[in-house]
Amino acid sequence: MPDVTQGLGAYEVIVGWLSGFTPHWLAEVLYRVGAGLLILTLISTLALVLVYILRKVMGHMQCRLGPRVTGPFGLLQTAADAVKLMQKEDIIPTNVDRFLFILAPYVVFFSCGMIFMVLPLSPTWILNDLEVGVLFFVAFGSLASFGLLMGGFGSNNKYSLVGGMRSVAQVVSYEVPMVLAILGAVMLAGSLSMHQIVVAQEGMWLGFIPKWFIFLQPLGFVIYFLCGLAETGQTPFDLPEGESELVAGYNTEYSGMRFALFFLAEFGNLFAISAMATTLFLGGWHGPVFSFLPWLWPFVWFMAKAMALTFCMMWVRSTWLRFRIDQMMDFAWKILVPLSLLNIFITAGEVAIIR
Amino acid sequence: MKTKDVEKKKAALSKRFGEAVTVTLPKDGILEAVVAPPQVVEVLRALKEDYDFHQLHDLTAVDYIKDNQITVVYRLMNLEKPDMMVVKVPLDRSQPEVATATDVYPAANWLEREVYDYFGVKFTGHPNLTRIMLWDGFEGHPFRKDFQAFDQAPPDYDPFETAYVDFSEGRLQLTDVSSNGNRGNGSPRTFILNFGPQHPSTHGVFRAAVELDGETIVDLKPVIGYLHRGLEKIVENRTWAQVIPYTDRTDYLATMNNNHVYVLAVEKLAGIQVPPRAELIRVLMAELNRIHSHLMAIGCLGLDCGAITPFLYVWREREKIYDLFEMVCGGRLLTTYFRIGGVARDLPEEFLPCLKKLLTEMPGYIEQYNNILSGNEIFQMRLKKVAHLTKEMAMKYSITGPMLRSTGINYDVRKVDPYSLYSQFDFQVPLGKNGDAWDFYWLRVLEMWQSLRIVWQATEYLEEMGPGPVMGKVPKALKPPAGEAYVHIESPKGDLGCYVVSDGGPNPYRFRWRPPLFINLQSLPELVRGWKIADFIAIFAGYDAVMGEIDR
Repeated sequence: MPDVTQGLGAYEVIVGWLSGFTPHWLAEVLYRVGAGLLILTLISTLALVLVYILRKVMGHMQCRLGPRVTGPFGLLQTAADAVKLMQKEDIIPTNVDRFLFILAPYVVFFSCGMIFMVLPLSPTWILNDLEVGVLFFVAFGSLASFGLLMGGFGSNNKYSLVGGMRSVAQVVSYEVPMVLAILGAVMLAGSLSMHQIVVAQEGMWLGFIPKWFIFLQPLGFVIYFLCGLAETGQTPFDLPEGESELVAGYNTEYSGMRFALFFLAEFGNLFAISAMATTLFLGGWHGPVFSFLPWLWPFVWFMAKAMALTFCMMWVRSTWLRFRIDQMMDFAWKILVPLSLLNIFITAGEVAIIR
Repeated sequence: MKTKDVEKKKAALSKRFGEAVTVTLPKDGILEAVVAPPQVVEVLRALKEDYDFHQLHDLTAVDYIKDNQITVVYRLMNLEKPDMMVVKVPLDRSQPEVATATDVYPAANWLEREVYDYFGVKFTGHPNLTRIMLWDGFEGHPFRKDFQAFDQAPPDYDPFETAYVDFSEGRLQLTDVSSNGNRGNGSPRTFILNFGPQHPSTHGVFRAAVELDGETIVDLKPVIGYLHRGLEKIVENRTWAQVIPYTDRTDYLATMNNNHVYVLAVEKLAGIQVPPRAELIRVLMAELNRIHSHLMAIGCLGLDCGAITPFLYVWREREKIYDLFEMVCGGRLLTTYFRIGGVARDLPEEFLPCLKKLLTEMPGYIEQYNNILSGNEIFQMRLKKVAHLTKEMAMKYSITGPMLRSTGINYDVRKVDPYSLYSQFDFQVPLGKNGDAWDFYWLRVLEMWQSLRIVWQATEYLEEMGPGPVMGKVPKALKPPAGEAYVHIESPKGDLGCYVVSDGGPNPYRFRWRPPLFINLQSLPELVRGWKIADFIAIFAGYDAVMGEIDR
């Protein structure tokens, strides 16, 4: 029995199994297609679950109950919503830039899906452990803003345009402190590979403090988390779609499945940011492994940590309010960037001591 | 002393303007001057500069068809004293024309447009004398007594055409803007964004055409009239008692206060005595409604800044207040509880215990809002030092209500001109300092505390007083003597006035609502110029606008 808690088993196992009855190239193709479908399913399911959780969490925080009619405990509410969105008429307004308008949701969704490719959900469950995984994550994370700008510009609606521009300004500004915060973790791990970063966090100090990077650089974690909120456009950085100002921002003109793609990507990103924070700072899949189903526990720990962070995001969402655009920019450039630079210096000192 | 002052003023005015001005002193002690049309601006300027009537309180008109006159009524206010004065200008009905007062009182702008719209009075020299409530193609002027209501065909043109007219005033030219951007001759840096009338944070159907330079607001043009139902006209065909439900439908978040001002006006006109118990119940209800209205105001302000949760918190307490209303009159939103001469029915037995429970819980709830909203750093950042309303600007635009008090002017009708039983209650008027959006918000929170105090006291008075009648002696078919009455009260939104004119008949001859929000709203462009889009939303929420009252 292969040791499933160590190394990357999935690729060799599956491709090897497929090669048994198909040509090797077809096995490779099938593996990738299967991986893509897996991501698609994962994001859709996650989004459904997250929307349900969000509505329940926010409901209870706001003195109400949230969905509770459709299915037991309202569990089917989001599924019903998804079906509704799929049935809706696909409206493309007359005067939009058709090419950009149609392309935009796919760009956003695609960038979100690509992020999922490098997330190490468990030691064996990483679709592609790239050498430059972190860089890949950052690159595709910022690609989404292209999609939002395309949607905003292509909609030929001024609310959308302002929303798209806000989104680009926001993502570009917060990319800087975010990358600097990630850099701290990369310096400690000495690698850009997601898998290696998690592996570097294995073990305990003094026997009871886990060697997670959050204990070495709490500042970096806070900066990353705030930037993550901004990247995904969560409160208090929900300016691109600030309802009370811009109606719905970049997706004002979208409806039906196109809107659902934006929606899926938003919740996918919500999870991706939490998952990334887990990987970088909270020790990824590390946690006690019990003898019962040993291959499952890393995945459980990872999901638990990521979901806890997602819950924090929802908590923030129902408690805080929106920044103004200039305050948002000030916060990035005048507070977060200097702090993240400070974080790098501190981390460099720590690296010198540890190594 | 006050009467002496008035006498002195009367003599001085008569001496100064001679024949052109006839000054009389009706029995309610408010000086009334009838001015010949050519001298109006001169007289108004003199009253403003030499007699400290800094504020144009109200401007309206009455059509006296029998005398072949349309009388324009200017109501001036000296907030510091406080003192009121009425200037009446009788105009020839066939060709009503008078010089504009906008040079003296900028607040006259919309008010004069309204009078032009309703009565067809031409204000010469007005910067933009166009219709404000009714659409541009409307023929005739509905408040003239010889207007035939049903000879109008509905407008047959494309509404999109009309959406882009009516912008001759100022620099906004929507016609220059095509749907794809600015192709006109205007500055290429700016573009025009059309907020509303359907927009999540326009509190109804307010529309603002905003000229933007990036995120910064260069100019703004408010457009109103989307909810105009002609309430003031409708009630001219109702009996005096039937008017009360219509007053509910102006500011539908403060129905009791609206009822209050109307019944007070009619009682003043007809000389009806109200039993003390009824008056006490009225004060109690009005203050409960003030709490309710302010709850909605702060909740909406939070919502417009992006905070969803506080809005639902205030909804919770709103329900409790609505339950109390339902208990006394069956209605929740539109209560119609007050009657001319009293209130509809006495408080049910379970009312006072429920009220007391709410009153003991309410401080905790307000603390909750403070914890989640007022104490939030981002919220304070968003509101503090945003929009600078100065005393001069507040005077210029006749602003009343919490916005006026946010500049530090101590003007609350309950204190300065106590109506009903307010002189017997112990409460304070919270004042602001900076006139910023934070003060607009914070004063409302503080006023809720004061209202709670008043409701407590009213509850105690009620228990001391014991049972008693709640209706005075009112004739079945009320026909107040010919004449007029003006009463103003402090509604949650500002200084709400009701001007009723009777010709001795069973219906009001003229019914004028002095809507505080309509008059406050004129200051919006000046207040938001130079701020960001998000600030505009926050400032507009600070007005606590209810379009039902603005458009009536």
